[in-house]
Amino acid sequence: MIRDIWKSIRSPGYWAYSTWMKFALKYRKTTLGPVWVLVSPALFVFFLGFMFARVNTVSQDIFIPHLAVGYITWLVIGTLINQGAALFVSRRQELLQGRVVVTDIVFSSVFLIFLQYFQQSLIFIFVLWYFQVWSGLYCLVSLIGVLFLFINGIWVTVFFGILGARYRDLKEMIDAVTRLAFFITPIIWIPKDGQGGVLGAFLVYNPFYHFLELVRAPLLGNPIMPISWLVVTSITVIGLTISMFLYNRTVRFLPIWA
Amino acid sequence: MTEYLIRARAMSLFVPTYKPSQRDLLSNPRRLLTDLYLTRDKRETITLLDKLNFTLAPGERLGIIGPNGAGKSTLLRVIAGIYPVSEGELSITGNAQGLFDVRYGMDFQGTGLENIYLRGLQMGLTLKQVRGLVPSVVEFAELDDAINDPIRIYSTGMLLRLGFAISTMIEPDILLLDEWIGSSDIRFREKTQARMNELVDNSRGLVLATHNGALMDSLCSRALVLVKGRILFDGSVADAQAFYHRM
Repeated sequence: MIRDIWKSIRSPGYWAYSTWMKFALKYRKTTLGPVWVLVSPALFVFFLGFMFARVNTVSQDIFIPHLAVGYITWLVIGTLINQGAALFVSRRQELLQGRVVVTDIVFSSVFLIFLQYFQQSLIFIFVLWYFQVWSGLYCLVSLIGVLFLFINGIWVTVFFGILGARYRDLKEMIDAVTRLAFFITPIIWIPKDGQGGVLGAFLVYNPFYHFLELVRAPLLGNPIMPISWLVVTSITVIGLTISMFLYNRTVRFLPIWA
Repeated sequence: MTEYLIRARAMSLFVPTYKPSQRDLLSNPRRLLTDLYLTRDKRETITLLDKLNFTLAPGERLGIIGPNGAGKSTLLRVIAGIYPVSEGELSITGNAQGLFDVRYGMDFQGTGLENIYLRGLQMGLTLKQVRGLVPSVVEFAELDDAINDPIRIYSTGMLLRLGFAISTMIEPDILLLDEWIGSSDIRFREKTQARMNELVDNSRGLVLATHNGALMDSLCSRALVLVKGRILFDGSVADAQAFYHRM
């Protein structure tokens, strides 16, 4: 896998160009163009933000930034997993033409999500500016969180992509689980102190929470718990190792499975 | 040691398929429901290529004859390195590449020019190489200004011309052809012919799967008869064709 990744990094031409083209062409016939990428999450953040700030009785200027960063970053996590599980099935044609390295397809999938995130981050940048949330230079730490997110995106795509091509049930299962995870993870709610150990378990054992925190906490000026760093780095290492193992053993069967 | 471009030794390919289990809906309407939820599709392994032995020497042009579903295209895909060999061995010297579907991989929203880049990069060329090839592709495909239109509005002929021009940008060592690529456009036909012949001449070896006997006569120096994944005959083109017709 390392060799293939290296190959893809050294000649990014195909995956970068084809992804960029896909991104640009999707909206070519529309008037607003890629601005449409912003519309759905912006509506979500705006309406849900004002409504849930009341339901949760949290002040808007705390809740809406929390929701904006959380939701848009969540979109990355959810799309990485869901898109990954269906990836090789949907790109079967490319596999059958030969010449395309499998990691090219992986990179292209992750890169597309990155482009979307890059654009959608405008929303939370606007929200942070509007609510005057500014944590100084500490906010740059969230770039490390984003980096972790996309590095993990690569193994997640490889792992779920290969398993999803072999076992078609996986995609259905993952759809269900990620939807649930969205509600379990503190995105549309804020974990508060003193609410007991029950809720704590939902956070500590929820890997999505830790990934989210690395991006969100620095932007909002909250501290990051050491356990989040620990969980994220361990998942990165373990995930990469497992997918590398899986990739090396099974990648040649992909054209047959997909 | 004899030199070879392709050498297959007892090479087999097994592929898993899912077969729906026996359904007999008419006998009992209730089975419409029970079959949907209760039966499992069976995962079975089928043998697409069965212990093939053959070689391709430099300069040789190998034809493959066989009925539909004999495994001709599959064999080409194995040689191109797309499907993994399940058993036996296959060694290839040089780069084997196929012209399978010239219109594959184009994005219909994109312009002709964008598609040249897309396909070129996909075939492993660098951005610089593609840029250098663009004028000749556009000229060959006779698209002129239409190259800046989205290919979704192209006519079938234009698409085919563009696809052909792009696909033949690079010249592989070992050319794999799944049927000859021609054009129904009379004006363009000669040009395609010439280009195809050039490709064949410049390659060090050719594997051609075709139903067209005359073509095989004129191009190939040797032929295999492939039936149900097995090689039944390996020899001169005329003998192979005679053998095939006797079957």
